[in-house]
Amino acid sequence: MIETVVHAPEELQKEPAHHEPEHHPASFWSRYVFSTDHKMIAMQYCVTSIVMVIVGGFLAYVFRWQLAHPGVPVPLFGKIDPNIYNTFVTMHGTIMIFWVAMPLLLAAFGNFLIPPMIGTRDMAFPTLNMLSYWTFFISTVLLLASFFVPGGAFGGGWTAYPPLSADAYARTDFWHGLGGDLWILAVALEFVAFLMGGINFLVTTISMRAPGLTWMRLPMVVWMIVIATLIFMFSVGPLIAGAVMLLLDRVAGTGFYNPATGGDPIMFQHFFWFFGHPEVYVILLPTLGFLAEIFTTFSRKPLFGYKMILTSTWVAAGLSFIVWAHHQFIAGIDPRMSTFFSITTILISVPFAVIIFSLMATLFQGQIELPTPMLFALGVVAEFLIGGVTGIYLGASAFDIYAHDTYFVVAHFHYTLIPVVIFGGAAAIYYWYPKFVGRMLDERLGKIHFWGTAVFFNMIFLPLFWTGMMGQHRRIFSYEAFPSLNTPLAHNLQVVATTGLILMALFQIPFLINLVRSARHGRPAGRNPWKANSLEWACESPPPHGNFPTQPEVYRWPYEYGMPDSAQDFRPQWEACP
Amino acid sequence: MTSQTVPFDRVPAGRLAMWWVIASEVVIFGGLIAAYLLDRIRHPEWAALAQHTSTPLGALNTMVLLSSSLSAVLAHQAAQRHDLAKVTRYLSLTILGGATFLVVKAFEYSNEIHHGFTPVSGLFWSFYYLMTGLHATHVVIGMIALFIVLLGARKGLHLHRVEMAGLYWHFVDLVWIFLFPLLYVAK
Amino acid sequence: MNQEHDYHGHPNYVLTWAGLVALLVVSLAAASMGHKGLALLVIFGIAAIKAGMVVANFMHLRYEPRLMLGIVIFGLFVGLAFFLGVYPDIVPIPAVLAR
Repeated sequence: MIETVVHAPEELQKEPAHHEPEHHPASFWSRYVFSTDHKMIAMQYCVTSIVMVIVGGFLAYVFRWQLAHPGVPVPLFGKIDPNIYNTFVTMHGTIMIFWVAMPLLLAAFGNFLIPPMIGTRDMAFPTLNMLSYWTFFISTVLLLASFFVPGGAFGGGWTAYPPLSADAYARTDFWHGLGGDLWILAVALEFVAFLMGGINFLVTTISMRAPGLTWMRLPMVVWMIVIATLIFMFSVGPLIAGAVMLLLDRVAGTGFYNPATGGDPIMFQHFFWFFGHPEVYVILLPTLGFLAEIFTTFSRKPLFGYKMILTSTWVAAGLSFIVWAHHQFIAGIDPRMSTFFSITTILISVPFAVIIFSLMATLFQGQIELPTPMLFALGVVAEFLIGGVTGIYLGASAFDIYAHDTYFVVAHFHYTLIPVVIFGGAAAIYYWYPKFVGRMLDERLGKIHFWGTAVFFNMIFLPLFWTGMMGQHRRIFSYEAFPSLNTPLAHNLQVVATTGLILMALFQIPFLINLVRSARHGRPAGRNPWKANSLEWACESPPPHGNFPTQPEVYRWPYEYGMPDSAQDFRPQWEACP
Repeated sequence: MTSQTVPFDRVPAGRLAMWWVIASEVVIFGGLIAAYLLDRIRHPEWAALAQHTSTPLGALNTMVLLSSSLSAVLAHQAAQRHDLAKVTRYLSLTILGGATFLVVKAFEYSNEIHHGFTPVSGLFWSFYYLMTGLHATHVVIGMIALFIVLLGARKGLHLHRVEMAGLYWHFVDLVWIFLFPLLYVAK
Repeated sequence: MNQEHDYHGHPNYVLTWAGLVALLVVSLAAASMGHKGLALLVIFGIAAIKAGMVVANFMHLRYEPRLMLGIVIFGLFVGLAFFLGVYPDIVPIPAVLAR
């Protein structure tokens, strides 16, 4: 009761901005840089991840060039030595997972979508939200700075296994080897940033939903982001502890992972994958949520099996905590545990199969339209299937022992991650850009982007399945040192893959042009360009500060499409029954 | 559990957020304690090393933290009754408890280092310093949080924050309840 | 902050504190028991009871919805899953054979 009195003035102060954003004078700094508005923070995450995908892609281009043309100086870069090669492979993995996939799918879209989709003004803790982005920004700066310290960036693989990552040999003095310390610090800070953001997502979704928006009326994408946040929050803890131990091994000379002092390096592998495997579901779930929204909108059909999808997701979330050691089948883990982890790994494909089939059933007999977001969304299903199915092979320890650390594995996880991150991210950007910016993206450039990406993505990674089956190992700088593996066929396949990479990268240029040009010259989008049902389409495009002029009410779930006996074929969540 | 409760989505946002923070911290300390336990079970000889940690000082610190937890929760009760003098007194007592804890801990550290047990003189000691050090970091963070809350609360501002800082402080106490037997009592 | 703010009550905090201190004394006494396994059981059993008392009374979890307890229990379950999954790779392997 006392609290009400104390807080009333604060609440009142916020009101004017709510109705008339123009009367709220904001400098450039408070509006674009230290903004607490969830949409601006989403934009900051989105732009950072697009910058980082360019950095990560360039690193991939440099080391793929070396694989196709060993010893030939890389155009736009120069000569590459084994150390730079290791560094770039490591940083490519780190950047693409932690600085592209997570900020784009979880942080950017979580921040952008959750408040308007649940019908609220902003996140529960806007200042914490800003702090989350700036912690992330500092971690980004630390990571990029590590390229420029003596000895270069960290080169011990993105998994950072000791003893290589903890060993003193890489550290001749304090400065030489700083790259590894910066890497650990950057990753740890980034986890802290996402924990802050994640707590915000959870509290906002739990306690700030609009009247009438029950749990079973929540758009699937919000569910998926919430569950992904939960998985992240509960799996990252041990790795934070493990990372501190690794850092102490590097800088203080403790021996947590050193057998000579009674420690064990395999402990870190467990720490890493205990987080690392749930992490792939953290990335996958938001994209499955995007698919649910996009498929229903563009097939004009209700979502098939809402409760089934939700139950499967919870089951998968629970199982994701007991599959991690399938990454370690050849690391010397107990063979009985290998059997256990093989079984759980194959089990976890069941709920995901249920989700994918439900999504496909949503399309069945729908009135399918094919604008760019739908093309990318269909692309996710088609390509992710290849990654998912090869994952079932690799989950079986018998096959994994043969294929481990070959290009087969590389092709497998790129067939999961690129559809989920690049295709899924692109689908979501094409779908929600009109809401983000207020203007439509150009369809012609979008179609060029989609077909170029889809075709050349397969050109990169289909050959790598093949070279992997031939036995080519993924961590070799130059196959000239291994003539028996360097057959003309294998070499040609590597050349094909590199050519595919360069072409796929070129086809991202229309996308970037589209993003920039449509912000000025695109067709104005209006409130609801896709005739969709969920609450964010009730806002103006782009939504003003505070999103809604008045508190919206929700009357139904968001998937009422294809209504035969109503004037329009859909019923938005916010419209009362006629 | 009593019947007088509310649905999950009616819990005040600040309290809910604090519990999520605690849940994520549980996992951090859970992973660390799991790693320690695994190595401890693997090395039965660590029982002899654990003899060198000072159980009396550890017990004293347990007392200190338990008592500071009591004053934290009394501060929360006083805050709900809007009794600012009591809030100020109990919050100051809690911070004082944290400071006492750190002084005793520093005394222990210097004593152990004096006897040659440094963070790098074996895995047990690495774990000992890491776990107590991480906990002490939380004590410091908790003290800073309590101090900031105190600055407002003594003027009657942001009184609901007394509970939030208190929740965090109880969590710090909770971790120590497990660290004390793990590192001091079990030989 | 809002109307529901006060839904939790105030158990007797001083009594809880006295109980915690008593349990501390018991666990210190148990440490000097002859039977080592039993002593460990008592010590960690008491730690769990103490933690339960702090969580239920000081942190007022007994007045919160069940799901809140579920969050914390799930965190503990995750730690246990990690412990059990790693156990066969650390404990039975003699340190001299460690990788």
